[in-house]
Amino acid sequence: MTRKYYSLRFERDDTLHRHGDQMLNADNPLRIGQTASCDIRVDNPSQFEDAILAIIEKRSDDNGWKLIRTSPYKEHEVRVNGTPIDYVHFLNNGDRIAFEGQRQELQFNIHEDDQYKTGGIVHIHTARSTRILLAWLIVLTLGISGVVFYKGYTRPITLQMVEQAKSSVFQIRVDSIQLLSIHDNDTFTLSSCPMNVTGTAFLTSDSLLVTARHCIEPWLNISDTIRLDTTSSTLPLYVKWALQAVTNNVVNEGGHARWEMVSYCSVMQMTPEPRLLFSVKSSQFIIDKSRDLISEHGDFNHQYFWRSLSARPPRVNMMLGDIAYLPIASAASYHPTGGIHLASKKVMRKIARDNNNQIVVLGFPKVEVGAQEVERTEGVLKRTIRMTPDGYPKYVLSHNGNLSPGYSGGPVLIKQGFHWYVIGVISVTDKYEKDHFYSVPVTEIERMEEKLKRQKP
Amino acid sequence: MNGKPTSADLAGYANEYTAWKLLKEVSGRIIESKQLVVNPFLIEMSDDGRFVLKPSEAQEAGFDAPEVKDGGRFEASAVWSLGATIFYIVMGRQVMNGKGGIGQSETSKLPYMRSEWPALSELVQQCLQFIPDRRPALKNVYDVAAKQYNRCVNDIKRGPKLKSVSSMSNSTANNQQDMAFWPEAMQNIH
Repeated sequence: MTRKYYSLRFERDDTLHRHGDQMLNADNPLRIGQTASCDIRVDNPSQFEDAILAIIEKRSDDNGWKLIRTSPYKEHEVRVNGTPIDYVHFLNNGDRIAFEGQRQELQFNIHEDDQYKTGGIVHIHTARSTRILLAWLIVLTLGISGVVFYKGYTRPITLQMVEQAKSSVFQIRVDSIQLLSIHDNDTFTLSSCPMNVTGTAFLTSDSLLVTARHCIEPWLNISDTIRLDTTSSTLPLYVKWALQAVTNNVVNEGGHARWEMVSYCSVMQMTPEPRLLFSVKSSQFIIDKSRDLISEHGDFNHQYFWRSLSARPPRVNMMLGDIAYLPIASAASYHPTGGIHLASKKVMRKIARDNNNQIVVLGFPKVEVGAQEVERTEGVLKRTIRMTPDGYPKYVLSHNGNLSPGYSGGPVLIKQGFHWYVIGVISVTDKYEKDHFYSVPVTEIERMEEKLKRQKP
Repeated sequence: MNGKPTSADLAGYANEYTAWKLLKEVSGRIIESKQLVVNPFLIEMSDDGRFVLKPSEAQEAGFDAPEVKDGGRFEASAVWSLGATIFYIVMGRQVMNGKGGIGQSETSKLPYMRSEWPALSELVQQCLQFIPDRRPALKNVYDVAAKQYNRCVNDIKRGPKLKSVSSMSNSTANNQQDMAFWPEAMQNIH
């Protein structure tokens, strides 16, 4: 039985349709636009919200069909045969419909035959025999090689990879801390004390020694912000010095000596026997202090200024400052296997997109004395990595893993494709939830390097 | 050959901008021409995008005010018809269950169109008052429509709404979303 109906033919390929695909319809309103509710969906590469752009409906006089423009914005303009329509256009056979910002065009044709039977909106996908044959041949070829590829691609981090990484992981110890006064080119030691704080550091393939900032600046280890009722007697000595340094620098700005806290650290290889590889000072490390919070507590008689990695509301980039790195000359002599690869922005994006979450963490949990193997623990990322507009992870990484004191500064490893990378540096543990930890994304290094390049004259 | 579309062809799909534009242009035309018969089938869309009220006495009962059935037709009746027309192009159906003024009594509930367009919905409600003296004057309808139309034009110039901020934002204004995402407290691993 013949009936009158129309077809809309896609004139171009796009992400959702192929050239030659068709929609058949007669009596149903047909929505064209970017939202999920549309019968014909078009791409939305713009920054604007998805919208319904047009509706094709039967005319009330039953004399054909009309195209109704539904959005008044210029960005949602609808054109028929190149001419923008304001509100409604009665469609003619052969009309070409296009949309602002879209390559796709739809050709409207009226038919009267027995091909359209259902009464609903019918999708017809083009199928040319040669194209199908070629497609099948390609699929077959790819399928065989794909199986081989898949096996390698999806294999988790192997023991071999971990062993390779272990040779680039070291213990870092803070042996002493000094409070220095620096004026012009003269440096005086105001106070010093021995320390015994250990953490983990690792060497990268780019010859960077990387660790957590709080491993080399242990005066930041006080996790609670000093309150108004805090008295100096309750604070460790080196924390008081840190307070004094910041207070001095804020109160006596300009022309006076600057006070600085410095730690002296040893980087140790722990097997077969603990062996000093090299010594470093905390002031040699590159650290981003732009997130530091200086807040004032106390009264006129007892002023404290506290510099810390405290989270500032909103908690957008909490703790991202807890990372430090240092270019090491002759790094090859310290890691014969070549070091650990840092994940770049691009790799991090792929990891986030693929929802890759299996991790391995390496570190030196605290032992009393003696030789110590690098320990490994496995876990999973607990949250999807979310990105800022410029492609950096927006937050610290959240994960589990059987971590204990000493793992701070250790690398968080992940396998992406055929390669494995460090994506994070162990930073802090959750205060209330067991087995919940946070790491600073290593892309902070890439970000700091970019910032330094921009600052160079 | 196709005839020209009328505002009736918009039935159910008119947006706020279109509704105010029609109200402004048609009420202005009525003031000039004194034509009192108004319905969506008489309002054409010109090539330059204006709404033009065709001179005609062709009536549509569904868009006639209640007093018309008793032989009265005056400016307030045109206001009622305008309200019914706007209701039709926005909602896609005729007021008073399609019966128009014939189906309305003094106690009939006045329809309210859309809560997201309060100014338009309230004006249409007032236009559809059963008692003619309670309806706004045509000049008032024009003034309100002109003002609201200008507002819509300015809104349109600013462009459509931007995609909602999600994982791609670095904005510190996104506090609520961040707080919900990151509620835990943290402490150092000494």
